[in-house]
Amino acid sequence: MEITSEQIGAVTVARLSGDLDTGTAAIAGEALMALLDDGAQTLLVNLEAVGFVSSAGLRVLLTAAKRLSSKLRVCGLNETVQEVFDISGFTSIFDVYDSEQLGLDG
Amino acid sequence: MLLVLGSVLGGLGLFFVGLKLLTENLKLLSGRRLREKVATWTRNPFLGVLWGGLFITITQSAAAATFILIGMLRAGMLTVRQILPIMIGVNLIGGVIVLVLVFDVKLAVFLLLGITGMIYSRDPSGSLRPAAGAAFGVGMLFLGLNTTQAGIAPMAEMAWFKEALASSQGSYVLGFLLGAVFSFVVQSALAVVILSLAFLQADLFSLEQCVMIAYGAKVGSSALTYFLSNSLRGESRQVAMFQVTFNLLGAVILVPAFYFEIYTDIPIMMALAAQFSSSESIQLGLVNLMFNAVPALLVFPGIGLCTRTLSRYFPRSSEEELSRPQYLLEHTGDDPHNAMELIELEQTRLLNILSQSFDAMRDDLGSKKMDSLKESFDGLDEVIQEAMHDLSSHHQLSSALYDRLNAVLNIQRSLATANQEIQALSAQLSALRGSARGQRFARVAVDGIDAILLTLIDVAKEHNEIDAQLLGQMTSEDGMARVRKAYLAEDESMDAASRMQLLASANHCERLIWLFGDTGQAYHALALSD
Repeated sequence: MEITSEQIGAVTVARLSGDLDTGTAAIAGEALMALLDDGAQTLLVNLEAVGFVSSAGLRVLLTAAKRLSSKLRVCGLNETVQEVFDISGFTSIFDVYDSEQLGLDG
Repeated sequence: MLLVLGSVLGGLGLFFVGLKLLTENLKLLSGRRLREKVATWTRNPFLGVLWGGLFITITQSAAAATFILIGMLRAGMLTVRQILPIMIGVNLIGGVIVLVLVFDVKLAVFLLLGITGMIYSRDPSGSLRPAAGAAFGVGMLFLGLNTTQAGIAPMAEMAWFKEALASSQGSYVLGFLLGAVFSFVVQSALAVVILSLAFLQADLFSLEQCVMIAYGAKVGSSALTYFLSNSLRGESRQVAMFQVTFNLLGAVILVPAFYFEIYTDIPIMMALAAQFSSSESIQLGLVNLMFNAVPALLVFPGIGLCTRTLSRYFPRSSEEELSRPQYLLEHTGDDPHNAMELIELEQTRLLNILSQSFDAMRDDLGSKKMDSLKESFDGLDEVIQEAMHDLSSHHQLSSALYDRLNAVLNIQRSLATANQEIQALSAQLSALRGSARGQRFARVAVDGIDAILLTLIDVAKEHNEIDAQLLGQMTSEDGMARVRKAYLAEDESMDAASRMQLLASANHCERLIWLFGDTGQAYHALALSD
């Protein structure tokens, strides 16, 4: 899994690529926690390049969301990831956007 | 020959169904009271040896006795440490039985099947069903052995078998091999030893050859036990391997001793037996008894060491670990608050089993793994139910504690229902996985619901307000319905059967989401009442 980050205005964008599952959840979790430790207040996780998010991956996002005072933003969900979000009810916990730009606009 | 093969196969089928029936019904019977009684009866290893004697007297087969004991182990009625002295008794007293009359158990098996079958199917109250079912299982187990045995009997009249007998004349090794093969096939070393007595009396074989047939029979019985226990894991495997090792130990010591005695004329076992009786039949019976007594004398003082060694080489399976209580041990103490706390801690372990079921579904490990997890869940569920029953019946509880017990009882019911839903979901998803679309639905459904379950586990263990709120939000969404509608409306490539499976799977998912949300609320309410 590759993770890059960028500060765009007040929003910290984390771009993930690869599957977010049991094998990669720990790496992704560490990266997101590092961004929060560095003071990120508004976090947008771009999942455009993520093929699948398992329950372990969802927990990583949930852990990050619990540390934020505002809602975690996610964007670029493919159809399969959208279905996992729908079934798990995560669409009600996060702000979900179609694209990174819409996520930045809030 | 086809009939022989068919009889062997049919007999094995009856044997395995009998073992399953026995295990399942013993589980229903094995309440805490009965477990405590069995524990008392077998606490003393010497008493255990005598119980083993009773087992072999009834079963006439060490392999059958081993599997009945494995059934009792799996039902939680006995531990490995309690079983080992019983196994020694099975072997030791089995040797004594050769010296006395052998009963024909066939009539008894038919009577047992007839009576218990009628009780099992017609008991209006259902209270006798577990006992009748267990006894019916024993009957089927023996019918299976008997069917195989009866199917094999015509072999004795077959030319090649007669030739094998004739060719073994004068050869100890062939006698040993004949005993091993025959014991494996008829599934009773005892029967082969008794047969060798008949050979001896008919002057077909010499005493020395018959001794080797008897020794071979023990090794054949071990091979049979090894073969039948191949699919077993953990403690069940420990018991089977004890029996295998017991006979092999006897063979390793006594077969070389036999050759040493024959070729050096130094008196050992044969000479000792001859001191007791001039009858060759009795001498054979005594040598056979010595084969069992030597490993028994070596092993009995080191039961503890045997238990530890077996446990090292055949460690408990993950399912056995899961089903074993960690908090609710035999004595939970007199303080009802403490007992309640232990019940709650044990109850959260049920959630771990549910979580492992999702792992098994994710990796599509199949119905066998799911059955094992169900067995673990049911075992632990029963322990918790009994502890709750004991708490309410043996203590004077305060009103607050009754309220708490009621809440925990409701959670227990919800978790049991969730387990049933997960089992049903697993079966539906396995069927769905045949198509690419079905595979995808299975993948998203398993990980989606598992994420909710993991949050429920956080709520149950951490008692955190934020987790409870998040779980509430997650389970109040109607996302599953959206996914279901999308799959059913858009995909025309699915056939009618797959659509029905998808609908059924989605229904199970929706019920699980509701159950997890409801259970989360119950856990949160419990945390607030602390």
